[in-house]
Amino acid sequence: MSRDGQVIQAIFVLGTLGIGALHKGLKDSKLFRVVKDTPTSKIPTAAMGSYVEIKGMLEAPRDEKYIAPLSSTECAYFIWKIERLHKSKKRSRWVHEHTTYSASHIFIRGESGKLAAISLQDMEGEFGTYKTKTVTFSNPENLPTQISQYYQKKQFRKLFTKFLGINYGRYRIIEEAVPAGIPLYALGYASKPKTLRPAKFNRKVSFYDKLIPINELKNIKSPSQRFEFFKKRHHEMNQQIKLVLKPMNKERWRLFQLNKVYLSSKGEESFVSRGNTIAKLAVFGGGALLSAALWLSTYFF
Amino acid sequence: MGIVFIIVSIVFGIAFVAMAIGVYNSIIMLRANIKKAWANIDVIFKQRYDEIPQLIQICEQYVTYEKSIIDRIMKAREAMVHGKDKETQIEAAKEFSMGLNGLLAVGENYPDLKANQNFMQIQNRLSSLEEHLADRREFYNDSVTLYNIRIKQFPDMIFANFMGCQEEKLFEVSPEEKKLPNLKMNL
Repeated sequence: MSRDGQVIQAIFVLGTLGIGALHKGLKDSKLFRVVKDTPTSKIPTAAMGSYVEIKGMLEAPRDEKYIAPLSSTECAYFIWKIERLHKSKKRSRWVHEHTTYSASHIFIRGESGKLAAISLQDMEGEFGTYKTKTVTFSNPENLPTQISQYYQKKQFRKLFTKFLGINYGRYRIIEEAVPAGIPLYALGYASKPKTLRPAKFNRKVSFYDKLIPINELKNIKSPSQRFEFFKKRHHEMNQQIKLVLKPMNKERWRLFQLNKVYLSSKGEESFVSRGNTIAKLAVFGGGALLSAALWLSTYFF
Repeated sequence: MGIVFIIVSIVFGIAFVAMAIGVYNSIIMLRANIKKAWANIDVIFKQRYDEIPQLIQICEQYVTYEKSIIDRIMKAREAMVHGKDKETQIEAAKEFSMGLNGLLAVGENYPDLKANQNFMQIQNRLSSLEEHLADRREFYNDSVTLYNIRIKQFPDMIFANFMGCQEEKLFEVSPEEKKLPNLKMNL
């Protein structure tokens, strides 16, 4: 490559880096500002609507102990990130296929002792890294014992194998078991839940138990049709199902939920240090962009 | 050299505009937070307003010598909901709380009134509203504090001055409400 070509390439790399850093810095600074500018609401008196900020402790969706199937850890709930190995000529990488939660809602207990539900649909943010276990398998028809046991118990195995079986290959499931009692920060849209109803007593019914009537699946032969059925059913259930998780007790509950939520287990304070990093990133981006523009100008003019 | 100057000016100009937009949006959001917090307090004021006639009706049957307290509550009740500005409403709300506490304390001297089921019900309802009001007042004060800090900070104060931002007043507890209750215990 000629010297001119190398210079152009260097300017291009610098400019791209600058635009990337500036974009990331400005995007994150918006969230940082919102977090910093929103006062914290108390669960018993939080108003419905956008930008409702709540702090408290994570609580399990049910009163009984919950065990994550892969890591055998007691937790409030767990997340499975299903990834498939994508092989190309040059390199192989894990591609995210699906994320599933052990419950559709989690609960946060505020200082007042009352609970609020948090919808995990459209959730952003993270819980930090807790107990993680990765299980790799090459054929979805022969699931590792812990997974198959879990799904047999939930009468869900067949669907799972068909769901993933559309694409045979090498898979891995990363299980993150999130313990109860961790501090949680939530910022989202508060609303009266349409699909969440308090129980009169403890019911041992999970979301998955209610999700798919296995008998209905027997009539559907094609895996793709099954997958479509699953998607449709999942959507319908999200709309209609009365998710009954914790028993209602007037002293403990306030029935509202946060949607489109930003969650963080690191707390609001971490945003202050994060704010400085974001500012540095934006300044770096701006600087890199400026340097690229100056370099380009001196090169051409 | 000329082209370098132009590029630097353009980049700094873009950075300034981006910062101005960010600060402007942020101040608008803080203002909206205060409005929302005040609207939430207004809801509680309205609920208290609606509960009072019934309470007065019950009290008047028993409490014949406490007209001044009742008048004080009724006057504050009107100003609390129909006050011309926020300051008037805040003052009226403080006056109302004090009057109400006085009335409920006087109620203790009238056993027949104390035993009245309707009175007990309204009393419970009003104390629950007071708790809600305390929480929402805290939220309102948080919103106001965030706003007041922002419009005084550099460089946000420059834009805030251009936008004509004024410092907002807090919804403070009156000195009478801060006084410890006079508890006489016969031990």
